[in-house]
Amino acid sequence: MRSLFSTLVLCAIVGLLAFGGVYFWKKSQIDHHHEHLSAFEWFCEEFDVGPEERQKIEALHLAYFPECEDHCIHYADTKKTLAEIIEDPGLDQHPEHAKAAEQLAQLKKEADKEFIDFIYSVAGEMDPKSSERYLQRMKGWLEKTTEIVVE
Amino acid sequence: MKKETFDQHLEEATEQLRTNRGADDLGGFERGVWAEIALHDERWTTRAVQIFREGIPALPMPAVAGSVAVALVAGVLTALVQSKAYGESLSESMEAQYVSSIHPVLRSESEGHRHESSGH
Repeated sequence: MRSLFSTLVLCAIVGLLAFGGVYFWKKSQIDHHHEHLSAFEWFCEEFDVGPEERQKIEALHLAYFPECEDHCIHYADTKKTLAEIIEDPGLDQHPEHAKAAEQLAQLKKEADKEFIDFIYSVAGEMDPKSSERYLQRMKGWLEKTTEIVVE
Repeated sequence: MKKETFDQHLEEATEQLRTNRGADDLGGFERGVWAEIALHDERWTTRAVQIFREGIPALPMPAVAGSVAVALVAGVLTALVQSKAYGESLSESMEAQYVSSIHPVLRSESEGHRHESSGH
């Protein structure tokens, strides 16, 4: 026989120890796994990319990066210009303001198009099930980029 | 007991209960019943007072072992659920990293790839 109070304390201690032990063990495993994982390796793992597909898809990524980088720089510059115009009260109704805003919107459109073309080219190298999942996940990010631009 | 006899007794008993009698007129049996009801008062206040009066109830060992086992399983399951959620949150951040490497707008927004005109 054991008192209700001591049983409750014992249960709480056992429960907490079990939780702490298992949680920190699993967490350390997850942390260790993600520690040296690059974004591309994550992609391969998440979408079950096999070794053969991996080579082709990696080549696609490597070919696309410089183009993406150029577009990124252009976009960042235009955004900075627009921010400077907005900050300057003298340029409030200036044609440069509208021009920069239009240019930024155009670059966003082009970036989305590049992104869509690229994800479809990658999906083309994947097995049908994974490619469908990949496209669905990546398309979700198009809405997020629009939200970022609006912010 | 036959149904007719039971019905007759029931009627008599009901009739007796209907007659309004003072507490002093209660018979031995009725006193006993009321004493039992008073002892088994289910109101939580009465029960709490009873626990303090009689001491905290003790549990038999099998019940203690069962409770500890339940606590152990609950702890392990909660930890597994929480660690899964943690893994998913890490995976989401890896996904964000991946997308920011292939979408020019997100790339320009991410800290690691922030481009200033002077820098490039």
